[in-house]
Amino acid sequence: MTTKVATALVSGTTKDAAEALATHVKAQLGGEPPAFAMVFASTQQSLAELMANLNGRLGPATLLGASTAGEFTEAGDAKGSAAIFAVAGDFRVFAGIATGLKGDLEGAVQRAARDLPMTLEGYPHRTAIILLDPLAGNGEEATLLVAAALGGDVRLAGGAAGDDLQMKATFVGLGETAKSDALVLAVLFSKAPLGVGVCHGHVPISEGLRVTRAEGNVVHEIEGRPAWDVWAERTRASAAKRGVDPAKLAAADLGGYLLRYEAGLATGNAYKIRAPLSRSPDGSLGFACGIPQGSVIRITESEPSRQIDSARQAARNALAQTNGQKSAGAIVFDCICRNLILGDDFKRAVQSISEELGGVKIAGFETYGEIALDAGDMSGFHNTTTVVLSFPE
Amino acid sequence: MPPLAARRLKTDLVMMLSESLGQEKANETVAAAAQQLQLSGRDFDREETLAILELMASSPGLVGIVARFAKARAILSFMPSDEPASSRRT
Repeated sequence: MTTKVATALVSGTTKDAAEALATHVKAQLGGEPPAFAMVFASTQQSLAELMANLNGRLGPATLLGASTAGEFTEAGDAKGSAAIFAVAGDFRVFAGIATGLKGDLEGAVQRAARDLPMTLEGYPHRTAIILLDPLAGNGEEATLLVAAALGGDVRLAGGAAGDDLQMKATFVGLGETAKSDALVLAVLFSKAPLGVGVCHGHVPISEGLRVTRAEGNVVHEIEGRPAWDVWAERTRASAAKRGVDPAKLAAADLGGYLLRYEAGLATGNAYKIRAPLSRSPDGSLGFACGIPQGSVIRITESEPSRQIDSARQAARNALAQTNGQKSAGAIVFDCICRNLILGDDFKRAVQSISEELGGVKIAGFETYGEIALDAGDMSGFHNTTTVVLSFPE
Repeated sequence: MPPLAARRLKTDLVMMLSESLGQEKANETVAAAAQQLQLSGRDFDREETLAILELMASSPGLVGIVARFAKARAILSFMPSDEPASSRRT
């Protein structure tokens, strides 16, 4: 059975967007019902209403969703819009959703994974998708627990939902529902392997800085000083080149500033990036996952050209995992920071992913965190990266 | 003495954990656990490796979760390569 992919990017009211997305999917798939679809909604649309409206229109497809900080397809990118990726073909998909991610992490993972099969006869390849609320502050912890629950041989991809940099509430959805403080877990069984590629383009701009006081995902002090004071001090020179003074940031600009300058953890000859998402009045910074006290971080940033190169590399990495099979299309989980850095060139980065995969259809959203974990990996939650989930032809 | 393949270098264990914790924190945490278990060598056998990770797994938050995950991965890595994949569940 040939794999068919449909993508669409639309704007308007929630109801109008749902109708337009469903119409595009039906037309592009030639009436064939999708096995799986994922919808991405800005804060201008209600994800819950969009999913409720779409769920019945896509036949038996398993429908996943996430709120976003930007949406895109191979045709372009937008804000205040909704996008969809739908795939028809020989896939079997099972999914679960659970709330209580912040207060009951392990329970939430168990509940989301409870009814997911580990194997399916005739479908030798298994790939999992995770969507989660990053404001729960435990993205890495949730990813590792999901990997443990699903078994060591599963390949994971996914993203952390966004809210157009408001940092107030993010949502993930399954079927007719969308929830905050939640995670959605889907397992896709396929005849051929799906490819997952990840890459980032950030480099350190500070020396190693020790986290001297932290609790969970909140870093109170770095080198014995309020975390934000150190962040502002070490990024001031770089920000000044863009005419920005961290001491004079408007509240609405803080989220974007933090996502431009993220923390890097040394992992040998590379850096694992961790995103600060919020600042409290006491100068502490809230991250998208735990940062243990005693960690040594480097503040990082990236040049635009590195962001284009890393997007291409992520696509190549995904394609390398598909045993030589061509890509039929891909879902892309792309950090919002890349859009902040690239500006109008973000579209070029998105198109470069499609080009690397052979000019296929892609759809995705701008995230507050990305998930990619292959069998044998020891970490699966990323920031500032592009994660490409490629479906085989 | 067991063959080298059945042992894990301390630096390898640190690198394994550094993907989530960063190199410096991983190094400190492994060193502290090894010291508490009175293990002073440059490499560890299966039981010593699992004991270090077990001790780290009792830590709260990310360190504990990473250690539990690493322990499951370590058990798989110590398995003979002809072990059926279907039995490899973490």
